[in-house]
Amino acid sequence: MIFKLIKNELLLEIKSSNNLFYMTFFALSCLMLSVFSFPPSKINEIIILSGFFWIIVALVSIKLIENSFAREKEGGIYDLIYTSPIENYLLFLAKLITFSLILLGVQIFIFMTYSLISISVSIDLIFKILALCIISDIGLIGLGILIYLMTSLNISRSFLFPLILFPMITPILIHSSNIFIGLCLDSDISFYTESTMLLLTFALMAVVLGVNFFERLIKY
Amino acid sequence: MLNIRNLSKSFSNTKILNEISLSIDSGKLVALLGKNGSGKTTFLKCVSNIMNIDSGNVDYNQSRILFLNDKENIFSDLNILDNMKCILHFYNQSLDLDVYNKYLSVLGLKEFENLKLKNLSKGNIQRNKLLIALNLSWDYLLIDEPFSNLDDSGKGIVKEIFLHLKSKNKTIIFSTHNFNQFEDICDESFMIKEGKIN
Repeated sequence: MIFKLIKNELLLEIKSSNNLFYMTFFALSCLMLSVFSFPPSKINEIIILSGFFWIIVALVSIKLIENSFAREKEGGIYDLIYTSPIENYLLFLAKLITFSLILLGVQIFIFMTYSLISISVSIDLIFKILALCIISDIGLIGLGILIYLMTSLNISRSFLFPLILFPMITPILIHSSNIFIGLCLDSDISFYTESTMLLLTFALMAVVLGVNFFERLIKY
Repeated sequence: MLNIRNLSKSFSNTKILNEISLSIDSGKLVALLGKNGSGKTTFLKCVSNIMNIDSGNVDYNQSRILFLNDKENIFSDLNILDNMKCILHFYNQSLDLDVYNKYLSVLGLKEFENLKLKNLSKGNIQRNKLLIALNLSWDYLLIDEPFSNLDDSGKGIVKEIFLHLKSKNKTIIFSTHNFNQFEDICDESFMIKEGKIN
């Protein structure tokens, strides 16, 4: 069942006129433009790259979530979906998995493209980065969906959503950035064990809260 | 049977629905009447469980409810078939192509099959809503303003479809302003006025 829902979300994102291609292109353009301003030292480049990378990821994840719910509300199909006999937590999990996969695709594309023009970042790191991205994305997207729904009935939602979301996801961004730097500099694993545990906690928390509270949040 | 007991709903201290109770048997065609803002849509949303209610309860007796609101009910970037497949996935049902093609022709949508839904006229969007209802399995259909944006031939088609569904023991509850045009097909009608049902 959940595979059908994931397939649905992917199809909708691909067919959308406001889709991930534009988001990825925007994200990559930002990064490429910033390359020229990076200082010519490996450690500085990696620290700044890490910051840019995770800010872009946070913005893309917000856009993904907003687009998805906006699409459902603009088409007036929101009621039809959320009164379906399917368990609502499956709808949450389908969104979480699909958006995490899309975000992962965006991250891989950005990282690989950047590694082609940079001598400081090697493409061999891709599998380690991939594991980091999966854990971070689940936390980012899960919390993003919940906070979007909490603020969606407020007339100031465009303002409230990022206002509440950013402080909530800041720990995820900081610790993801720490691990990213550690991986790029080939640091000892003890350098990022705590950060990994914190990201896992956020991911788990987002999934548990989403599964339990999604049904209450989609009603108005 | 659909049983509604003491259903109440308020928005900011304004009581829209005030302890409404009613029962609707299966196989009935029921019109919900009332002025703009009388609470018809709120009633349908509360009964279909998408809107939180203040008090009361709605008992479906394990019947399947389908709620179609007065909006377009489309994913605007998809065509009619893809939109239908998507919706069926959400309802864990599979598409019966024979049924789909039959009703596509009956509703006069065949020639628009490959167009993106955002390019369809409002009347055809309304017909597409009926196509959704005809391709999904349900016992109770709650549909908000099914005749809006339709020309006379469209209204005639919708009436025929409603009667066809009724003959299959399906229950349809629809809201409308213009009862005179549809009085002939209804078994019952309820008027919502000042939060009460008459």
